[in-house]
Amino acid sequence: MTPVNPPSNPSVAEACAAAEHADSSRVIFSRSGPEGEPLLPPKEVGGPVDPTAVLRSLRHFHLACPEHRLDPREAALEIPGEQFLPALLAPFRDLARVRSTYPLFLDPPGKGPDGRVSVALGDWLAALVTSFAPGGDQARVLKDNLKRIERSVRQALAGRREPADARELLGQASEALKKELQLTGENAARLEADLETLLSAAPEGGRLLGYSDDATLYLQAAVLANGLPPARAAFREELKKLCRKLQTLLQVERTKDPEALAAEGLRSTMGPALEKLMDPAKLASLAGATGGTLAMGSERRERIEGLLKKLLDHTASKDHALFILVSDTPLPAAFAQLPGVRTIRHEDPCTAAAALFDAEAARMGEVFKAAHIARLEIDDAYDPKRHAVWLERFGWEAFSEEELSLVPPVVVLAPAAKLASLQMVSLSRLLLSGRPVKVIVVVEPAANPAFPGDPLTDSAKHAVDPAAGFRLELSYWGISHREALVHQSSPARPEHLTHGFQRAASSARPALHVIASSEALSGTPSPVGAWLHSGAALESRAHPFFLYDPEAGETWARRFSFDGNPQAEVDWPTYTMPCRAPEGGEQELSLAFTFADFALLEPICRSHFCVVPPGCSDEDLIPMATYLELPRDQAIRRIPHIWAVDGERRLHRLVVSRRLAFACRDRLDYWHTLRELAGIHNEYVEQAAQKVRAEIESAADARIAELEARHAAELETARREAAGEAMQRLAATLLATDFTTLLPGAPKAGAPAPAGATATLSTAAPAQAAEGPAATAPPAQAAAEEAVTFDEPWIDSALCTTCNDCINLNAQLFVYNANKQAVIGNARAGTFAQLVQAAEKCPAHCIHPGKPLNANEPNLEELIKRAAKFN
Amino acid sequence: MFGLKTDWVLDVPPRYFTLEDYEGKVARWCPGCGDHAVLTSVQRICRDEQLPPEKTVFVSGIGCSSRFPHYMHTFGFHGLHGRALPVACGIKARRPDLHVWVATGDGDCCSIGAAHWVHAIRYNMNLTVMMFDNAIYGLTKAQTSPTSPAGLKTNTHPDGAWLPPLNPLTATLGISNCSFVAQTVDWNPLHLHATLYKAFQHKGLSFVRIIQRCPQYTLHVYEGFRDDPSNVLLLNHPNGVPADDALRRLFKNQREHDPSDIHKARELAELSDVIPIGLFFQDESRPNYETFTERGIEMSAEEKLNALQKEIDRFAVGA
Repeated sequence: MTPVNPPSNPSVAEACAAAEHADSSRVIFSRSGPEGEPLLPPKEVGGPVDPTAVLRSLRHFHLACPEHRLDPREAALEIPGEQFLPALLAPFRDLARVRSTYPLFLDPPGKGPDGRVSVALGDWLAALVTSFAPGGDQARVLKDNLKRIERSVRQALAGRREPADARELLGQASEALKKELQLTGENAARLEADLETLLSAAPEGGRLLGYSDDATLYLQAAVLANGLPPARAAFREELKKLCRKLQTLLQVERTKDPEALAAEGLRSTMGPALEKLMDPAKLASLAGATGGTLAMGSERRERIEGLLKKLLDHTASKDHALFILVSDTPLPAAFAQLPGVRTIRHEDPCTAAAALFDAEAARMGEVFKAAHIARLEIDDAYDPKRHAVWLERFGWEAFSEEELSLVPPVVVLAPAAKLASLQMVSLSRLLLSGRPVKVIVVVEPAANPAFPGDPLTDSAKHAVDPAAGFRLELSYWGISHREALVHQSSPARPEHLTHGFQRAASSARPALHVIASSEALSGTPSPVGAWLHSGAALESRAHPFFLYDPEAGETWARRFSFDGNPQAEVDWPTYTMPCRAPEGGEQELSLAFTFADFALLEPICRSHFCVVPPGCSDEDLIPMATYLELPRDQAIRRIPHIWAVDGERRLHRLVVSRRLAFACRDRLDYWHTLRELAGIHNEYVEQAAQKVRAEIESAADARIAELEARHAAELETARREAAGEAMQRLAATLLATDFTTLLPGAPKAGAPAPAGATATLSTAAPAQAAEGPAATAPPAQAAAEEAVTFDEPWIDSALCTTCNDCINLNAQLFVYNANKQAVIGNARAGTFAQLVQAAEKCPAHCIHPGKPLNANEPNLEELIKRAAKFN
Repeated sequence: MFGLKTDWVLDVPPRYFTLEDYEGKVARWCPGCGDHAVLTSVQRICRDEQLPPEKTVFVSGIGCSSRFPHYMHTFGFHGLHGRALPVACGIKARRPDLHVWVATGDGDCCSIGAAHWVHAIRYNMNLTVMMFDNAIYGLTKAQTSPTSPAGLKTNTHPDGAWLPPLNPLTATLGISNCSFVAQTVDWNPLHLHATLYKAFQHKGLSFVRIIQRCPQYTLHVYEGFRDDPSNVLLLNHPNGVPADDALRRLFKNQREHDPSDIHKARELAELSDVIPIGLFFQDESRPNYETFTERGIEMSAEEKLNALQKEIDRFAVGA
């Protein structure tokens, strides 16, 4: 296959060397289904179309605002309909075939603040089955049909926004599977047993969650439910201990009462049993004689009693919200019914959240204050003069991180359009206040929250235009508050989302979560489904992921995480897509997924595109990614396009309006900014690297030059010395030569040495040869494998040839496994004689009779001898 | 990409098949016959690949092994002696959507069916051919077959076979357009299964010679090879028959062989002191004849008639 388009970005080839994601293969997964790959348009078409006129019309379309009507005198151009999809998303048009990360299995709560929150259904099912059937052939039918269970669960959760009980759904899916497969006999029994084990292995309290925008809230709830209850339980335990100690203090104090030390008081304390051993009257006289300790002052006693009551009231109270959700929009009814969640609707949710947090903090502050005083009282260290002043000013600012984490979290949920306009000031104040309120902003990746239309009439979705002005990036604005945690993510990537939630939950800072909405701007369902729509926002750089966590370290590099972005090192993720050529054969298109591709998913943006007629000259048409790489003065002369696929799986080029091209450039600029902040293609870093590289190269050059000079000098010296030495040797040789040997008949140079010398040499070789094998021979014990015998009979099933010999001998002693290969069924269902007979008959010699299980079997001695060679 | 993993397709076939769904009649081969192992292995492949029984055909000629279609609960064609391959080619020619397997014996394939064997290999249609080689005509009670070793006493050669045996591997490797040749033994189900799986996955005609013991007549011929694994040479290569550690441990005698090297394959096929097992040769780039024979398959009956009429009209004598 031949790539027809060069990569749109020069750095793509380099980027290909380092794949960022395990699942972000650079080749689109070519499973297009029975229809085959999409078809490229023909390069030339006959007919009356004037290519020059078409190109002129396309240029006019590109330059004019899409609101302007095209000149009717120009060539008719087609605006793409709803059946047009970005080419890279075309294989996923059939949503029923797409196996997304959702549904998610939500783990039962209480796994701790960093515990796992969720896992994809497919992965969960596979792990669950493997937990009780680790072998490849165990639970074979169930393993083969896990996808059917997954499909049933998906169908059950379709359209449902709230989580459902996992066991219940799994039970329903199991019944559906049994009905669907209609198995009989042994297979049916095995499947039944495996399904029962599967259901019992599913943890109680686990839930399954389908994909929707509400998934953000449920995942936030799951994160808080994981971390909060254990912390609260630990605090309650501590309070109970304090209460017990305070009660002990009061008890001791009560024993100092004179009445308690009187004979009657002692008698009642001792009880009738001890009274027989001791005389309360005499004891009272002794106690009185010692005088006892000082009695507690009434002020202190009242204070301790007050503390005790406050602490007991708190530990007994069940009214502790998991978290408080403040929103200016109606919330899903199901969410409001979640245990422990208090929902409050307020037109200015940020201000309301601050007030709510203050109220909750004040309430909890009283408990914390009581606990502090109790600890001091227990140690008898409380000094009202010294401590009261500090405790009077004991507000949330003075709370420790642990105490702050015990205050019921307040979460704000609001759409970006409102937070970016009317509520921007209150949001800013909240982020600067330091209150650990978590703000979840739902942002539409294709829209610009700075141009929301009229937020009061909620007409934002209809008035917005992604190409209107420079986009307000709320997350980037959030970072300017410096000390707030800022997290940009999407429920389509639950791991990234929950990681951010977990970091925010464990932080005593305000947090701003900017979360992508999965719905199209028009409110209509996305043609590729909500999950893929959200994924496309991430791929197109419309909604890049990052996490700015001021607690992660002192430096920017430690605070800023850029994980989760596909192919972060390049401008746009680029993939290779197989397609069919009009003349037959297969080709590949190398396509970048740009913001324009994402905008095609938005119905209200379709007016920014027009279809390039087949056969149109392409000298001025260039892919959008290439267009954005050109300098602006050159780009303006070209017409950018993207590739799309229509409902009949034909590829088309779509010209993009200049306004949308500007929006693409705006998103690219923001992407570059974030990437630089993450240290990828950072100008400073690259300059520094270049400088260091130059310094190293310069030092290396100097070192090489120095070594070369030294080498040349040494060579010269060696040459001189060698010449002198050679001359000396020559002179010595000449002086020592007996020139008479040069006469005829004298022994020649190089003749064999005297016999004695060769004899010495030749005897060494055989000795060495004789030693060789002895030295290299492995030890006998290493060569021979240790013989292992078993008492129980066994069959090496993998070697069984299914010849039926053993089964015919005894069908209970020998049975077939799922692969129709023999295994021992019931070892006591046959005789040792049958085992030996079967071993002897077995053509594969895979039956091992072991030792007799019945010592009373006749002819055992002979049978054991016959069995020996098979064990 | 887009958050999807490589197994992003949630396609679930409408039906699920267990091993029993491929089991036909009770096999009536002799106890200890190697054909049982082949049958089980093929049934497992059908199950693992979830081949719809109605889309699977087993074709055979005559002989013990040619009873194979009766024991599969799929479509089958128990053909004439030596004619398994032409029938299979005919099926594939017009029904390329079917999975076609061929069970043929040493007599069926290498003697009466030899001419069909040569041309079927050259046609290279997408068939899985299992050549059961027990070196004897077993069904007709022990006559010399083309692969009987010299000296083997049979009903037709009571004093022992006169001629050296025909080598099905060298013969197949010598036919033009041959694309897959492998050899395995019935007494090692692991290797047998892996070889047949590899053959099934091959696009083109995969010819697998299965050295198979006849418990009645030729058990002794392969006894030395079965009892002493060092007489078997395991061919290894990343592109060859997959062999895991358990399988490798069974054979001390191993050799690396690149199955794209046909000359080396021919050299290996000539070996007679050991039985080489594994993939000798594979080349999926060789043309398949069904790409030619399937042309016009989508035509309606009317279109076919019109085309025929047009051809006949060429010979019409004008008025």
